Amino acid sequence: MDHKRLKKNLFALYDRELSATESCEVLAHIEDCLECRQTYTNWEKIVKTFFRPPLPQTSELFVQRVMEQVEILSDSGWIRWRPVAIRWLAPVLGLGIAALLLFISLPSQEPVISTEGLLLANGPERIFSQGVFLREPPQTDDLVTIVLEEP
Amino acid sequence: MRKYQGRILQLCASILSDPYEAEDAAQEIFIKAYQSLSKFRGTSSFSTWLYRIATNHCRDLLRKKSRRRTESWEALVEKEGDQLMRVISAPHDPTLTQEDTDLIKRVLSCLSPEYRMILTLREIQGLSYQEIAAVMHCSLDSVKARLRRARQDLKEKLRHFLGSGNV
Repeated sequence: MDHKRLKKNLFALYDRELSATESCEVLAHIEDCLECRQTYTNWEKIVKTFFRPPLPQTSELFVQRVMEQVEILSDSGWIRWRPVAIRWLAPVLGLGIAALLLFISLPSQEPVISTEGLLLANGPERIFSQGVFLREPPQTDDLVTIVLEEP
Repeated sequence: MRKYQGRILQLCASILSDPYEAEDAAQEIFIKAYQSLSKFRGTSSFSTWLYRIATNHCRDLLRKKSRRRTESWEALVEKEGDQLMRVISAPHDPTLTQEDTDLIKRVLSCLSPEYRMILTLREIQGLSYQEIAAVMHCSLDSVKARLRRARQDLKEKLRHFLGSGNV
């Protein structure tokens, strides 16, 4: 049972992620347990063989090349405008489409005159509120005639 | 850029196993970082943020490369088994030939991009679990689990070359 628990901590020991007490416990176990010792040393061997850090080759030429690229992008305005453009593109497009739709739909809207509205209309103000634009206020008799003539 | 150039170049070279490809990748990483500088909120350290950009970029490159990969682990072992045995049995040998170095790269290229990435961050860059979690945007438990699986996979592949005993 202890072997299973300590075996789980072998790599945590290798990675130096254990507390001092835990490290001592696992190290003592490694001394006694051949299986765990081999697992540990084998991993050490793998790391030493396959994970040799390549030497970083820093150079001023690299910095220059990156800065040239950045300047090209800056000159083309890509860096300056891209975040702004992306942030505002969707709302601006949405607003534009909405405005276009509204503009298209406006002329097709004709005033709707309901019979009830006409009958209840009492003077020019009420008629105007129904959306009928007349230069002169109609006579009540005219309205009644219009309504009666409707099919 | 001068401060992080070495570390980013080393990370790219470790992951991509090709110095020219690594230099191109490092260049692209710095340009990407410059372009995204406005997105850096300061919630993590600058190096963690830069590492995140670097690992994402390298992961994408590795995925593209692994799609082109044709050599299977079995074929590699069959062809280069003896040389692999020699390289593993002398891990401290500082005089590796170009052939040995190429073989090491080919062995690592048999790992999945995810495994290779996390092993590089841990074993070459020496990042702690906490730092890896921040770079890879995942939990501490996830880092431990991924590392365990990656190690298990590599150990399993090299089982026959590591002498007797449990690997």
